[in-house]
Amino acid sequence: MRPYLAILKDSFREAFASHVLWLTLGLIAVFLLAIAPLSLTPGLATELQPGEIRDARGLLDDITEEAAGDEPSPGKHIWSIIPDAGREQLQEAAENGQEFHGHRKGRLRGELNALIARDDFYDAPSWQGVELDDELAALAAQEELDGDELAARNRRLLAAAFPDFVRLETDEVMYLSYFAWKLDSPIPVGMDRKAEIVNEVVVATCAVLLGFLGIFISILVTASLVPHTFEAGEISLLLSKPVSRTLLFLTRFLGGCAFTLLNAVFLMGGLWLVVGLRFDVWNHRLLLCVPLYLFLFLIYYAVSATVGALWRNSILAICLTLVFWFGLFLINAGRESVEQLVIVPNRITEIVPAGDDLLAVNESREILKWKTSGGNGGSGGEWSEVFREPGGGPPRIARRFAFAGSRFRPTYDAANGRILAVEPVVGGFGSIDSSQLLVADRDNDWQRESAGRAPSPIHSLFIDPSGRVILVGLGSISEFTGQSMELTELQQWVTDKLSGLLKRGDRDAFHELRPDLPDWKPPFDIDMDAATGDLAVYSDGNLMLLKSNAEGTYDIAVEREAIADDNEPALVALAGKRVLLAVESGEVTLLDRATLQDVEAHRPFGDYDSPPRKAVASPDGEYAALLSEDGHIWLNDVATQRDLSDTVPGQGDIHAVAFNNEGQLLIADRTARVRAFVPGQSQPQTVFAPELDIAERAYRYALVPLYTILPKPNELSKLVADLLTNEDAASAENSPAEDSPAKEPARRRASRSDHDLWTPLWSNLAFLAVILTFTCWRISRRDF
Amino acid sequence: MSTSPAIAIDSLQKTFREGLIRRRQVEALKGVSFAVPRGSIFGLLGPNGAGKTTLIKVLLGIVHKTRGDATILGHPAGHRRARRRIGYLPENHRIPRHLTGNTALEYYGCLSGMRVAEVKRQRPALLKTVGLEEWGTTSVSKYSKGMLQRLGLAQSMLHEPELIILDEPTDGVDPVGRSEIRAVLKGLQQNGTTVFLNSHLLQEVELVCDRVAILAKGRMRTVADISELTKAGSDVRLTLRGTPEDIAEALAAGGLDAPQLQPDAGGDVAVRITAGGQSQVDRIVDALRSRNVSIRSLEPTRNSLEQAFLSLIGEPSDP
Repeated sequence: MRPYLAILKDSFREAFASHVLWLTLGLIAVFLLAIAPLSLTPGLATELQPGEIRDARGLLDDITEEAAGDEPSPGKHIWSIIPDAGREQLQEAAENGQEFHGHRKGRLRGELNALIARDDFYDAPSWQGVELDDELAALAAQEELDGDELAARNRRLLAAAFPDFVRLETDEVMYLSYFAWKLDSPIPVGMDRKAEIVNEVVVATCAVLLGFLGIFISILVTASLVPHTFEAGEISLLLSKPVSRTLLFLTRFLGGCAFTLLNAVFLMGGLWLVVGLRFDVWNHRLLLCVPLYLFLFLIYYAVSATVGALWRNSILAICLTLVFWFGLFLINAGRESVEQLVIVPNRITEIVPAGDDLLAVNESREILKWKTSGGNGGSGGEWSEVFREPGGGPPRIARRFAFAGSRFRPTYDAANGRILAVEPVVGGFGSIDSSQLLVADRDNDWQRESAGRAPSPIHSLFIDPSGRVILVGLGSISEFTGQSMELTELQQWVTDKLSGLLKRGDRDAFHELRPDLPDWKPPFDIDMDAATGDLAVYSDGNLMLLKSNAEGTYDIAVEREAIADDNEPALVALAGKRVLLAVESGEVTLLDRATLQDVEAHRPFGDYDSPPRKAVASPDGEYAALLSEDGHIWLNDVATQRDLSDTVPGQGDIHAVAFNNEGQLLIADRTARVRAFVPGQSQPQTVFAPELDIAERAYRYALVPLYTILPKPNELSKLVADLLTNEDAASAENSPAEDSPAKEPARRRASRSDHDLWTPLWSNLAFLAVILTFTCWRISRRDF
Repeated sequence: MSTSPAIAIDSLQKTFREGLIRRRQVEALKGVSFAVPRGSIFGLLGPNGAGKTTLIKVLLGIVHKTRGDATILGHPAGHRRARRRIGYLPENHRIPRHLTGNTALEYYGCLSGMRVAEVKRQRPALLKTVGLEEWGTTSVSKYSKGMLQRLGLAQSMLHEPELIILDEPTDGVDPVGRSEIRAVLKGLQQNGTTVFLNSHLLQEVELVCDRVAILAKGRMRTVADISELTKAGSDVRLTLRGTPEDIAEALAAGGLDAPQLQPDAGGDVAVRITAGGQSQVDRIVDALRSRNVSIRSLEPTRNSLEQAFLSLIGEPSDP
């Protein structure tokens, strides 16, 4: 051991003898001294921030409406004190019904911010009917307020007067100061978010100083260490000593990190002290970042050391390490670009068996129909888009992101040969006010038409055994009774442009079937048994089974409360005599359908490793399948309780699952391949696989394999960022006493997030192990 | 002390393969065999490219042998236990420039398994032995070539090894330094240390070594004691005073055919003769004296190591 300790000691001796080390330490000291005078001081929020005006149009309408009234009101008073020029412009905008985004919203905010700084903003009679909390009422009564206190009070009075349109994020702001100089523009968050803001800045600082500059300098400085060690005059002397070649190399390799370690410790330790002393944010995880950044450096240094040991050339070591760095960046950027632009938009997320046809939905919310180009089965064909919006609709990327998070799953109405789907109608400022029912007939070449507007947002759409179109939302179970109708050009314009004004929907076209119940709450999921029409509903930790009565409306058949934690998302599926309930934490319970009592429990994907994404059951109820977020399927034979997951190929890359009417399991993997299996068999009965295009070939056969085997330093940087900013995880770790049920899901999610983030550490470690093993093997066989 | 040889080599071969695509084979050692007795100073001689450094590196495990056997201090060549008991000064060694004389000895001492305290205890005397007692705290980047050689020698002796292998130890060292190094080597021998010396300087080798091996083109030419290689021959050198005619006549009467006479400015004539034996020398002396030729000196001549070396490496290398 003594020889290797001597090598390590010598590495530090060498680092300390380096002028570059003292230069970098000096620069870090200057940097730390430069930021030391920074501080954050609290202040009162005296201006409205852009995000605090939730509905600028509504606010202006409300103000002008009140201004037109006879009674004193906040709106009337505010309107009266707006300068003439501003009032005219706002009046014009109000009368023209102009959209209030961008500069128009900014203008309104500017006018209001100017007003709330004035001492005549508050007029007691005008605020007579406004409900004020005690503190604000006391402030309103004070006449001697001025400056920031006055503006802060007026800002709160404005929000109190128009609570539907103005929602204040905070009453406090922070000011950044440098020595005695206070920056004019406040940071629009309260001191309660100080730690979060400071940590974000620290992450960005570390990413630049250590993640980029530090590593770059370290590569340059340390590149010569290993080549020098392996120079003829030095290695002969070293190998004549009683040391192992492998350990000599590994120790020299580790010793080469001395330079980086000293810099990282000085910078992170200094940052920790400065941030702690000046901002009172003692984030001990900053110190944990030292080994993480060191590990990040090790990845590049392993390449440098390998080149240095094999070719004994410092310049070559630097060049190849930089090429490796740039190569990793290119591969990652290329992979992500192709993934975001080609793979993900085309990835199938829903499979909809439609009689003899097969329909699917991709991430771009396009409904696709499989067109066979010849031969039997599905091989040799392609997906073609059906259910198109007239005129093509918005760009696919806009569609994808506009409705991200809301599911879009068409339903096939076999009796009428049509596809039905609901699409959310986006109201003012992104709120979803209702849903539009869309229909496409086979006879009309699956062209999409609007059938009507549901009065409330719809979660799911089903066709019950009697052929009724059933739409379910949090507050409704309604049957669509209207007829598919063509919209006139004017109706279409109204639908598209003024959707927010049609909040009431076409009530006449929908017949309510829901029993008299309070609205369900999210997290919410529902499934219908295609054979009986029964509905299984999960809502906010409670489960109920609804059955259709003689009138066709639904009654509660059985109910079980607190089956899961409040706020815990879950999926539900009806599988014959069982009800499958999969909660986010990973537990899957099969319940007796008649009593909703537990029959068996499983944990197919481990604890929080990957939450369930979709639960389905075969039409005969014999099989239930659960798809996880990370692309694994758990397939269960409900009757025999046999786990058939091993028979499902492509585990880990599956994005959609369904059963067709024949009871075959359909799974979508790769990007757009769908395969049909008899449950329990690994050989597909039918394959629906379009030919791969060039981009997908490059992605699948070059970028992904390379990305898989090469290290992922960018993910390590994400881990550092998450470590420093993940307050949930931090608080969960630090305060086990606060283990309230409400906090549990968040804590678990944070825990899972932590788990996922640590994964790159292992993959990078694997790369390190491989490259160092290879180098050791070469060195051990080599003549020097 | 063990009686087994410090180094025993038997039919040692080393073939290097060079080139990435067209692999060329270079035979550096072609079946070398010899043994180095314990406690001796053994010299390894040979022209450039003879395979001397390769042989040393094989012994130390720095280069892997191709065939044959080699043991060192009773262990297979390159064994870590053997290396613990060996000191080595490579040719053109490089001591890291951030070290001083003291820290270099500490570094290499610890690499040899010594404790820091032990190194610190032995360091002053050792530096004095090699003439660097005032340079211990100076960075080696300021050392001359000769000083680096002395420091290298010091590190090879630091852990008191049983065998010291020196590859060109006096390279770059001034004559005084060489003399000091020779004294150091003799001192080591007196302490029972075996010294294995590889040097181009035949005079050095002749002065300190007991036995030498001569290597040429990867083959062993001879292994012999120095005294054996430089033993007295049958040549006699005469310095005479007399007329060339009388001298030539006398030598002819002694049975020699017209040897070359070399008169000098002082009137003396030098002549080198190869006599058949002492009786012939006596006859020549009698003949010279009978012709009134004065014999100013008469000395038998010895072979130099250089002569032996040149004569051996001039022989055909391949059988």
